[in-house]
Amino acid sequence: MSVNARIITRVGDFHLDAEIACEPGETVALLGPNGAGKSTVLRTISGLLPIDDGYIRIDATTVDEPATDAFIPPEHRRAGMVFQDYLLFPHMTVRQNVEFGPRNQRKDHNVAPWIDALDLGDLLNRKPAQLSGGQAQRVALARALATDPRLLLLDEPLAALDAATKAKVRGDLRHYLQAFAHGTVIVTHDPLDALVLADRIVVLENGRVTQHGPTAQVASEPRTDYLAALLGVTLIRGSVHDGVIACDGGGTLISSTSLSGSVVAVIRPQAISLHTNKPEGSARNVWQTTVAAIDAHHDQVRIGLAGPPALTAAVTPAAVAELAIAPGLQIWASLKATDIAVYAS
Amino acid sequence: MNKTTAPAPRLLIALAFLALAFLLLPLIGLLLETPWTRLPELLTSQAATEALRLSLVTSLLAAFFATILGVPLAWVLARKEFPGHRLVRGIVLLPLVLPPVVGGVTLLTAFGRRGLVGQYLYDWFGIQLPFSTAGVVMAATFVAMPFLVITVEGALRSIDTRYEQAARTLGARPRTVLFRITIPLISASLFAGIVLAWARALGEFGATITFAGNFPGVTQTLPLAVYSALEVSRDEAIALSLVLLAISLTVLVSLRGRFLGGRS
Repeated sequence: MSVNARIITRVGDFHLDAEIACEPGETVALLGPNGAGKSTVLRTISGLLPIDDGYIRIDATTVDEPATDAFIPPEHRRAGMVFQDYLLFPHMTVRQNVEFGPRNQRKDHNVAPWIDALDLGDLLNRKPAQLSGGQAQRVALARALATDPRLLLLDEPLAALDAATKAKVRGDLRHYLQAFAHGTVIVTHDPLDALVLADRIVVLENGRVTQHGPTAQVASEPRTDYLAALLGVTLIRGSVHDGVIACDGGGTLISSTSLSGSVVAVIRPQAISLHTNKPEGSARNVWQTTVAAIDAHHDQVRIGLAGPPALTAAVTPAAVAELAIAPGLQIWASLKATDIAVYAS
Repeated sequence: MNKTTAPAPRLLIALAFLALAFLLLPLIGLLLETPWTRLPELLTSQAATEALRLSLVTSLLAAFFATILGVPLAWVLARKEFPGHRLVRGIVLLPLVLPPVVGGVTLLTAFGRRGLVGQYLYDWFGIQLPFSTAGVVMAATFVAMPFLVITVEGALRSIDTRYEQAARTLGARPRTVLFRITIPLISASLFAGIVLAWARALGEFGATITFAGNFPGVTQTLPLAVYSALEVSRDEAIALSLVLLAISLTVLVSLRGRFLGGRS
């Protein structure tokens, strides 16, 4: 294990209790809304914040365990950290920033491999104030990697970048992380970062892990409302019997599941079709409902359908005009049983 | 002109000019009465050169001690929470408002030959601080250190401490963080604090004359020399005052960006 931790700590009124593990060569994304405690997790692993209970082990070394009074200060943990706004030392040049770590470790100051790997050759004599966001991010990464860390911690590494730079840097970052032999824990609130960069996702909400698993699985089977909303899908909880889901909020949906008992159903808004008249066709779920809300969402329009069950449909702007969709309109909706993904809860 | 500014009442303008005149007239008076032709002769007299040399040496030493003692004190005040924090801060600031002559009296009660600490220094080691050049340095440090402490403390509170955290994740021990991150980040304020402390030490009069006396060549600094000269030679007093004025102006100009709201 690159890192293996049960982190229990209290910061003011906020109570964090999360388990996290990361194998060498693996990238784990800690995904969650603002205030979920993601950055606090990184601060405890790096040693900037002691935990109240639990344990943190990096490689095989216990770096924090209150029960045994074990605590290794951050400067001896060799956990490389990249901060959200990079925190490049403003009074030092790029070269001095990158050399800062090796110098502290009294290692040879040859940082050339990192300077090459992150393409910093032309920036060495600049001060941080003279760098673009993407450049500063590369310097911060080089500075952390130059300490030869046993673990890399990235706190919202793309949040400070503008949209145009973000896509390119995200791709580059994926490339660098794949080359890194040890574990990486990356904190983000952007699902795209997690999908592109992580092998596994740990979802953290309000100080607790609410879901974790391989990236593809977490992305296709969101179990929490936060994650469903983040991925743009609707989550329905209920109980299923013979494929018929009795939704907790009222109403029923016909699915093709063979499960029975408590379930969560995931429905993509694109799977719901809207019609002026009762549609003919094979869809098992056909019902009449009222348009509750209309929301423009990139190149799609999201139509909130009054329940029960309350669902969201996504249609093209042209369809909105064609169907004359407006709040309060009575409309027919259809949804194939096979388009409802059902998971035991 | 800033058009959003309300029109100024005439009384206000008149009083503002009066205030400016009040500050400016003494300077003009000094310049008008300066015996320019005799200036080289007056400033190269033995009393003048001795006072100037003594002032420079003692004020620089005072700035040095104020810095090596004041920076740690400022760091503790800015970074550590402890019982009595407000009281400590009050003690640090006291010399700013205390009449310097009272400061001199308190120094005598502590370090005088029969003082709290002074009696042991004298009895055990034969060290006598009052009425010595060392006493001049102590008096100047006493009044000057608060300027450095409040300047540096303010700077320490205003910098982003996450730079220090970043340094620790990069393997820097607390001492390395202090010397390579914290102090460079506050260097502008630290410089300003040192210059302010030095200027205050250079102008120190009350605590010095009380604690160290007024002995030419030993404890008679420039301000004391001005005071003594006034009784015998007004021209000499003015000439020495001019030197102090020139130094003050230099300090003001060197710090203009930091305290006068101008650009540095």
